[in-house]
Amino acid sequence: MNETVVLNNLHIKAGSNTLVKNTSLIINEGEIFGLVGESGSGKTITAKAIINLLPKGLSYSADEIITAGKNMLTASAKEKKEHIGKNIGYIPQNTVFYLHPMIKIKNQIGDGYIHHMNKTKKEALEKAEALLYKVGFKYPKIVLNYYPWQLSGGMRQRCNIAMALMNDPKLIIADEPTTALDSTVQRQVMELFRKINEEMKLSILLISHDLGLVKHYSHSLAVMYAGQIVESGYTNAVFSNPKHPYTQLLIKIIPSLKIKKNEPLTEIPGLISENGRDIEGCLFFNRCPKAMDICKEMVAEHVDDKHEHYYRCNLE
Amino acid sequence: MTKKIVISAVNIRKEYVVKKHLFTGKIKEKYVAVKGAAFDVEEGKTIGIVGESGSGKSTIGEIVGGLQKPTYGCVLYFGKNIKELSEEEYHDYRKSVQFIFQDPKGSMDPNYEIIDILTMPLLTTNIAKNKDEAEKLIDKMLLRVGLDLTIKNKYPAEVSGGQCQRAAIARALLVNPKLIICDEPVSALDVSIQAQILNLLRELQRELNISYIFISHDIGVVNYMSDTILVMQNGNIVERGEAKEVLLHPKKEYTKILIESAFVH
Repeated sequence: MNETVVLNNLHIKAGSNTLVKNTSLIINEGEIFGLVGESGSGKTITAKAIINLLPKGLSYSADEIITAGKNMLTASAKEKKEHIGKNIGYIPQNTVFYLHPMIKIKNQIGDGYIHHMNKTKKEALEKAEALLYKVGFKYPKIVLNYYPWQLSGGMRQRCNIAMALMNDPKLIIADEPTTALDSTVQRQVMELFRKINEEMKLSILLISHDLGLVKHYSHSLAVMYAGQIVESGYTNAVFSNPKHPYTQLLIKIIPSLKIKKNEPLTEIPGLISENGRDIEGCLFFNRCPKAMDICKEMVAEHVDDKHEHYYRCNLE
Repeated sequence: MTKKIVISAVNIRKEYVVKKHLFTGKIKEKYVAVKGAAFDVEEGKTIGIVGESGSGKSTIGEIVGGLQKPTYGCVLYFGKNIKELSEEEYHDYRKSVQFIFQDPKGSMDPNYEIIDILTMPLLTTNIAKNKDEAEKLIDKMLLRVGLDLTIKNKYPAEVSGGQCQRAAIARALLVNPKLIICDEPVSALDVSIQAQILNLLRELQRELNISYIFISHDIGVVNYMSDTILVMQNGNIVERGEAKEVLLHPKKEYTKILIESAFVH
């Protein structure tokens, strides 16, 4: 199987403060990859490192970053820009600020296509129309003439998805794409992601804090905690047998419909630590219910034989 | 023994004027946010309201709490219409019905320290006579909701979302309320913090016998918190009943869609 993204041993630092360390992940062609974690766990900056969009002030180092077949570490700035513009689509969490409010959809949806693919505006509009139809608008011509503020949140997110698809990308990065949306609209948008993934054989990197959502839609996933991937693997393998205490708690913590009224919800005490992420031991140590003394000093990494399931914890 | 009813809503309807004639003021277009809602809140019980955005959940909460006036219908506080309460009784009603909002930082004035924000309601309601007395009560309450006392001299922007929501809960509890209207209290928080806040709310209910109106679009959360559930769509209550009954055996198509799209397992 071909890999769309290979990330090996990524470290991100803000000054001397470590934000992300030892992060490796592989996204295969045509799969939905879920990246789960609390806010502050480093999901978004990991994704941004893949597409060379890290904010200024953050420095990074890695053994290998290959995005859609190109090595990002050796490429020049111009090459990177061109390659990423052509091959990666990005869908943001906030649907309001991503589209320019004072420009009609038809005047902004094709910008990337015209710039990167050397097309005319007429060609761009034809393509946009076809894509808007694909993402569920029955009358795309009317939508093209609207301003973004005339559309609802769900409609705007569909426009964003169409915009991300304009250059026929190999990978789409969806950063919390449905957090700002309603639960019923969320379902529609996620079904749309599944549809384009199946029809166009696209890889999708789905960043979310909602484990239920990721379980439903992803083929494989990685759970991040305090800038580290603590567990990863095929979604089925991870959910049928979660190994890391953090993953186990995350699964338990979501109130289910079968829960008994009188028992308290399982909770994870304390907060995610912002500093001191470069210690050798386990970062989940002070919140972990199963912490042992050895966890302070080192963490064992486990990978099963078929490379289907990885986790870092001292528990067997 | 009959159960005490804290608040009842009687056929509430709320209309907003969208367009008015420029000179005559005649209403040209109006939007009906709530089309007739009626329910009772018993002492020590929780009523959950679910629905999409725009279905009128928050409007109901605000009308019951006295932040907005209904166009038709009325709210009864211990059996008395709130429009006919005497001044003293009205103060008691506003004190006994408190709010917790979705965005904890937005519900606090960023220019004041947490201690000032918490002192104000105590002084205006005459529960504490001076600042020292208020501080004693605040210390006790902050510890009760699981906060460190160092938080007192911080500004809302300096504390995390979860801590801020705890402070908001403390503020609501300080004045000994009988009903707290929780308008999406956990949807802005992380999942791990969400469980802490929900557990805290449940504990406080058991201890102090408070009622909640719990508004959320997350079905799993509402199911965990509520005794009865109202499902709202376009301003109508389309389904109601005991929490378990509604969610495990939904009758309306809309309820089924809501449950399906929530990914609860």
